[in-house]
Amino acid sequence: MEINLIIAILSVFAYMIPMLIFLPIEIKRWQKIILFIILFINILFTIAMGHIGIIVLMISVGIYLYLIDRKNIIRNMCIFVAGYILGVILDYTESMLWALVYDFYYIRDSTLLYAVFIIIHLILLTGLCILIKKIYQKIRYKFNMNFSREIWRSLSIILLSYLLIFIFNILASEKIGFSTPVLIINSLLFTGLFVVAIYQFIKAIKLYIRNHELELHQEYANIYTKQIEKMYDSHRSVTHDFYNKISLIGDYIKNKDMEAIEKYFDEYILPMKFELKRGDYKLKELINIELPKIKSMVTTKAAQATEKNIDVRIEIKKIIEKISMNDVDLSTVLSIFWDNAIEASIETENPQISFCIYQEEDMVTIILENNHINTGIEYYDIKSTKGGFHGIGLKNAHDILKKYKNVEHLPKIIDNIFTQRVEITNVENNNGDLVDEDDKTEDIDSKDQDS
Amino acid sequence: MLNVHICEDDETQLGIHKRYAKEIISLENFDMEVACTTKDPYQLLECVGKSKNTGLYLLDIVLKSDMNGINLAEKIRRLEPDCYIVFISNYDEVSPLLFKNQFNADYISKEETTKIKKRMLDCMIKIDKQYRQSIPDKEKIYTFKVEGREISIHYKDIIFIRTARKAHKIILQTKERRYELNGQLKDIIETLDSRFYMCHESYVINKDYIKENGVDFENNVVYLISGDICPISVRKRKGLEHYRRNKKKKGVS
Repeated sequence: MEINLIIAILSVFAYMIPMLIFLPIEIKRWQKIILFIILFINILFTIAMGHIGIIVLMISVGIYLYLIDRKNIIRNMCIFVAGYILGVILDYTESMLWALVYDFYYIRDSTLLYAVFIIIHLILLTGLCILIKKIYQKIRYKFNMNFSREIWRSLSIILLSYLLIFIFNILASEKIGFSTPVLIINSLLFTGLFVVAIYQFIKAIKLYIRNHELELHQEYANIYTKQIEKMYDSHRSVTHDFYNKISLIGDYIKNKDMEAIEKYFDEYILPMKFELKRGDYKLKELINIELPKIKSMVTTKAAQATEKNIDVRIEIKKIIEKISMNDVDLSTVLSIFWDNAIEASIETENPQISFCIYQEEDMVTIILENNHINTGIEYYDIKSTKGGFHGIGLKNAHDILKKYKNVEHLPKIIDNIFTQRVEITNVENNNGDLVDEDDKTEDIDSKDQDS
Repeated sequence: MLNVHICEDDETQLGIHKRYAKEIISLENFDMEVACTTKDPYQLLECVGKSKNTGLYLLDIVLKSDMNGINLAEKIRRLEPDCYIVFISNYDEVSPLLFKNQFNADYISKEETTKIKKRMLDCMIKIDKQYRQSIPDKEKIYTFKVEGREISIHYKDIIFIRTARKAHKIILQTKERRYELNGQLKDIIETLDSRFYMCHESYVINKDYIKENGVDFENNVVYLISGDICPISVRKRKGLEHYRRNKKKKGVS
């Protein structure tokens, strides 16, 4: 009886270890204890009821995970299920190897031997989980796993159906009376099929995403070209005008009509200066961005803002060739900043937006400044109080920037000026260095100097 | 003493700017001197850092050379991190946001010739004020070296110090500008006094700059009077809670 209890406790650990290693959320100690109790009760139930208990276990853990973290329930559940399947597959493989050494069928009869078996299983499971996590962190950004919610949903549906087949296979085999080796081979075959399916699925999705990006890029490029054409057009009309006016002045000079010249100059030539100031020329410094995606994105947003009668200034004096950040992430962040700036400045009397990029040694700084009506709401409150797209946007941008080790986000509010400042240090990896998930935990040895 | 340098490719304009600068200095009795006026940016670079005096540079953006005003300013900044820069340029070259952030520089627009002198006067009054404040007195000062030049800053002017994303570099932010220096944040904090607090592994803030009710534990950030928003790490909250309580007590009594 005591040994059975130990086995139950050990099995609980077999469920908890993958979860604690893989779950990216922080689980507090008391939450761990509750999780342990839930699993323990379920394991006892499973021992009494057989494999049906697993389904109850999945459901109850799912409910508890939902209570801990409501936002990412699908992801968390997938991780839990994947961890469970990993455990089962490992268990089967071990059983097969074990069977070579001992007579397989007697393991479960000798509870002591079974306990030893589980302990070995736990050690191997922990090692395997850590190994998988390390590999995942290494390859994560080679594959750029920025999948949308829909894709995660399809992935989890595949995973869940796999799990159902898996459990059904076990239950049915027990009923029909297949021998255990057949059951194991079946499961391993299923797993192989599953891995191939997932691999192909991800490959197809990536192809789709790439095509989609190309289309988007094309669209941005079109907007950029249109903007350039518009600029050229207005430039041509201004030059044309200018020539006409100059030749008229020439006539006046020939006639030595000083008064007329003066009058003409004040009336027609001087105002032209303002005409030149206005309009599309301001965007000319965008030429200096040599990253097509960023260039077209900023052009689009700047054109949008100009259309809304916002005084837009683009200040890029030197060619920007390299920004060490994934360009999809960067253009997402910048477009959020721009949308926010347009929305906030339009409420003021003289809406203004300034945008600049400059490079110093090995660091690129991007600044977007706009005026707004300062209502006294602080930056981080804007995210939560305004709600809707607006607020979520800024939070998203901040979260994306937080992912990078080489990027610093420095927002600032002074009176009526709202500044977004992003500093990106150049690193070898063109997509930027990402924060390891382990780094999120704080330094423990940091001292409090006041106390 | 501030040494005034002017770089402008148009000889007539160079003469005019030089005359304006001289007139302003003598009229306002500024502690300044016109040291070097030239058309050639390379010639100007030779003057940089030669004198012990701090430099004030009036630079045109478009220079008839392979170096433009922006490149020139970058080079000057590297040689003399604590100098003052003012750009004089045409309307379509003016970039206030960039000038301010990259060079902490003012600008004079050539657009309206009648206003150049007035703008120059405004800029010089501002710089003179900044310069006089920067001369260290008996108040506590922090001294450090950047590119071999010694720079002294009042403790009260430091808003925050943070680590740069580059290794072994830290950034010191004052009201006027930011300095990038070598070192470790942990070493620096030990030399400062109690008004500084390390609120995050990579941030040391001057507590005098915390806004009223500026400590936001919900989002773990602290709002400063300067408008900056600095992060707080969970483990450093204690010190700020302490600070907030003390401040409330003072407010009551």
